[in-house]
Amino acid sequence: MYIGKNIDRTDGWDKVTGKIKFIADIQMPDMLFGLTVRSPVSKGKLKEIKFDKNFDFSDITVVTAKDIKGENYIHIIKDDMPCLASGQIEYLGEPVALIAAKNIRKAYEALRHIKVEVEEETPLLGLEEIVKTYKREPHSLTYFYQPQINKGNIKEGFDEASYIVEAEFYTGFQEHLYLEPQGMMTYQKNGKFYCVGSLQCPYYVRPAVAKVTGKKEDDIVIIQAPTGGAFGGKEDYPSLLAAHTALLCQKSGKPVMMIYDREEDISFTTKRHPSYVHHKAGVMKDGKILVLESTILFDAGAYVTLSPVVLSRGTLHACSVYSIPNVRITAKAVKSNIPPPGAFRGFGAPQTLFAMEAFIDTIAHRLKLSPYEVRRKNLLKTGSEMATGQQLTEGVAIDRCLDRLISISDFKKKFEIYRKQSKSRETEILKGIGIATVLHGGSFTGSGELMLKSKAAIQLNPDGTLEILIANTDMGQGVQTIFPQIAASKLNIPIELVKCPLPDTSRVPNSGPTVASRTTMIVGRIITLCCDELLNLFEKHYKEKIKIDNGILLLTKSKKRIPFRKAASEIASKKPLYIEKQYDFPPEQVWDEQNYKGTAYPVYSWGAIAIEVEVNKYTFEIRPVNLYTVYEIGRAINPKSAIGQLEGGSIQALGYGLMEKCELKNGKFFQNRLQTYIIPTSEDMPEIKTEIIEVPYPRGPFGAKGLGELPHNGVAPALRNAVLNALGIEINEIPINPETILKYMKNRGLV
Amino acid sequence: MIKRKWQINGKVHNIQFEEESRLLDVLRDRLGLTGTKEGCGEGECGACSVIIDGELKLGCLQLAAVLSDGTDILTIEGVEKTALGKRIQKSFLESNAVQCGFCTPGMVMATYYLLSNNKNIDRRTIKTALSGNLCRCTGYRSIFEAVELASGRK
Ligand code: FES
Ligand code: FES
Repeated sequence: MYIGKNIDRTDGWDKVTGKIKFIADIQMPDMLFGLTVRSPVSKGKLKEIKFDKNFDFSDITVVTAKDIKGENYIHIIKDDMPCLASGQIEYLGEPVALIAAKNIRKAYEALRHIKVEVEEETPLLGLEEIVKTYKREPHSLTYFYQPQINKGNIKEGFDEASYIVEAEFYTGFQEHLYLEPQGMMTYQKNGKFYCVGSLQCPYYVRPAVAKVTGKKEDDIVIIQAPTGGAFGGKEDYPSLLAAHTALLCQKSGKPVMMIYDREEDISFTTKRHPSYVHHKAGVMKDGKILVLESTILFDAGAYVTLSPVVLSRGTLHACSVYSIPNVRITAKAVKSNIPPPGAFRGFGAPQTLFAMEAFIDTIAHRLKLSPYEVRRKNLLKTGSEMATGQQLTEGVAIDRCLDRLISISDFKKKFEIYRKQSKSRETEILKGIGIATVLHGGSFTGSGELMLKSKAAIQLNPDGTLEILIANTDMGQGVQTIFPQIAASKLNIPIELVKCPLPDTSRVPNSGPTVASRTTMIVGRIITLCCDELLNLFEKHYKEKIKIDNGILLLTKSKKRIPFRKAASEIASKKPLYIEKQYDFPPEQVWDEQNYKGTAYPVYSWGAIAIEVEVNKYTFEIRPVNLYTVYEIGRAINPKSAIGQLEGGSIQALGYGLMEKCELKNGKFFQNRLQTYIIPTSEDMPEIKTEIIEVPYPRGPFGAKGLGELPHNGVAPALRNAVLNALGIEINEIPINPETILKYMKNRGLV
Repeated sequence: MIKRKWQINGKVHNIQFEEESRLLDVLRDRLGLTGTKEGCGEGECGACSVIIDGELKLGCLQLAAVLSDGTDILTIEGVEKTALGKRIQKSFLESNAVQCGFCTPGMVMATYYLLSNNKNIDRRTIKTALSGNLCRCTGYRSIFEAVELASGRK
């Protein structure tokens, strides 16, 4: 009843009026402001933290590793990252101490009187250095994770192929640039620590704070504050911030807030992993790919953090939407001395999909075939087997997406015209059009959801209102609006009765993290199971079959009609009725983590992207003119919200491909401010046309699949392919800005 | 301490602040007007946009002390009370021009400024007028539509 409806955001009015309180908008009496003391070098032995004797530190709270009552690490996957470094320094900016003062100014003043002395060692810095070392002496590197995919027989594939095509691809860092910087506050009440902040995954933060403070998890409460964007950047990092504020709070006994300023946020928080991909394919004359052999390297930074799972997803998306009979993929997450990169919308897939989707056009370009035909020849269809051996039994919609895209973008005609024009010498502006076809696996990889055992709940209150109790956060993507739509539709009650508050771990069960495009698809399903159970309870209570129609319970035998509110006041008369369910993991989803075989994801969402650009032949300025996208997402619960996600993701991906450059210079990010790290503005916007195709996924709520990350997967390679169409040059790295083009032109002696 | 008497959102306020304070801090910390946001602190994101004596300004670059007595300031908290402001806010909601909402107060202020001063707007003028306001969530198209809707063009 509310499915497919453009319901306005439930938190929308508070946001347009500026009334909503983000973490930085909150104050508590006696609150201190915390700052981090960081290592000035990339690698070495911490010698001393020097506190200026001429500065009065008496009203400054100072925390070093010695003050940690619990264990000194941030609990993520592997507990290897110290909360505060005490011996070995592994990256520039690594926290070594914390301070807190009455106000920000005082805190900064104190910070200026602290010096960190480190005996420097030689760090490993930068993807280029990693690739160089890997090619020369791979054993000298440290690998956090090394998955492999093997399918068929690659030797036979290469023997049979008519052509061998090879290329190397590079992608750079990408900063999330959520508009609200990282922020957290911790206070103590009745022996418990309360951490309130801008975060994605409250149940990641809770154990992390417990470990560091030496408290029981039950004594830690995590509350999400309205979150001003996250995109993966507030998946693991808030655990560190919460641990830090909790330590300062533990020592001072006062509430402590930490808000990173923009420069600190860009310099030291997570980013998208830089990647190197080498592809070698055996191809038939008609473009059919017989074999793909690939090496993937991700710069994983100083500590393990989330890199294994990011690389895992990257590896599993490396073949994109193609059915290739023989595959060998060797992937490695390489340790280096930079701040650990982490989760970012797409989670490794945008990197490997850039490489594969660019590679398809490379094949087309070198074999003089159409990029459309090469895709068509190799596309996955129902019944196809993926590189992991996963058989796609239903819902493969990539052919539909591609064909629709070709028609709305007029790709074939434009591609031919632009290709010819790229040779002409007359025009100053060269046009180009490029496409990409992508997928995204919904929810956790492999058995992840089985291990998570996510639980979600609904609570029926005596006044007839229904609360959705989940640990999933709304960081702008619309959970607080979509979930009431799902529950109200499932129960057939007015949506006004349903509320979805922001999570507070003292109230909500652990429905898992808000990541991996899983919230609607997995947690939404659990909520529908809870709704079914509520109906059951009503039937037990009234002892007959019941249908609910627009907020009225219809008792089928006695023909009684009871308003939902009234029924609620009966069934939940004494105390609220709490119904909790666990995710029913499909038993047929079997995954062999050791050999990377089986069902990597229960279902995929699909997308086809075309972008048209104009490149100035003299200045190499690239202007995106039109962006066409067709996405298949199962079912759009709230179409305007779905389109908002798809467009927003597409434009982040456009930034990734076109302009977002973040370079390491001596271990430091050179572009560490908004003045230098450039993201798309209103003036960079192409015309956008977004279409949704719906092939309902039977296990998703009302057929919905994940959609949040999908739009980040295809725009960058489509852009690269458009530049190839315009200039006839294969550019194999992003971002493609004027300097990148100039570099390639120079290499080819064209300027 | 500096003392000033300003008109903020239609009301006269007597305030005190330190000499080096930015207007953004005075609004947020002294007056509790936290709708104005800090996204960068260096004039790049527009989240701190306010209207001072009829001009669109950035609160993070504006030294408070240079604003003399009698200065008229409009912030997001005051916009709701104007007919145009309310129309803009409704349009933002309807066009789904809001996701995380952190850029939104600044966007609304920039839109308010644009529509108070221009009767005839098109996509081009909107894109230019909002070019100082970053949004990382929406991809801007919905914001352009919201502005058009509020302007009565749609
Ligand atoms: S905070 Fe003022 S422009 Fe960003
Ligand atoms: S809505 Fe999040 S930055 Fe604009």
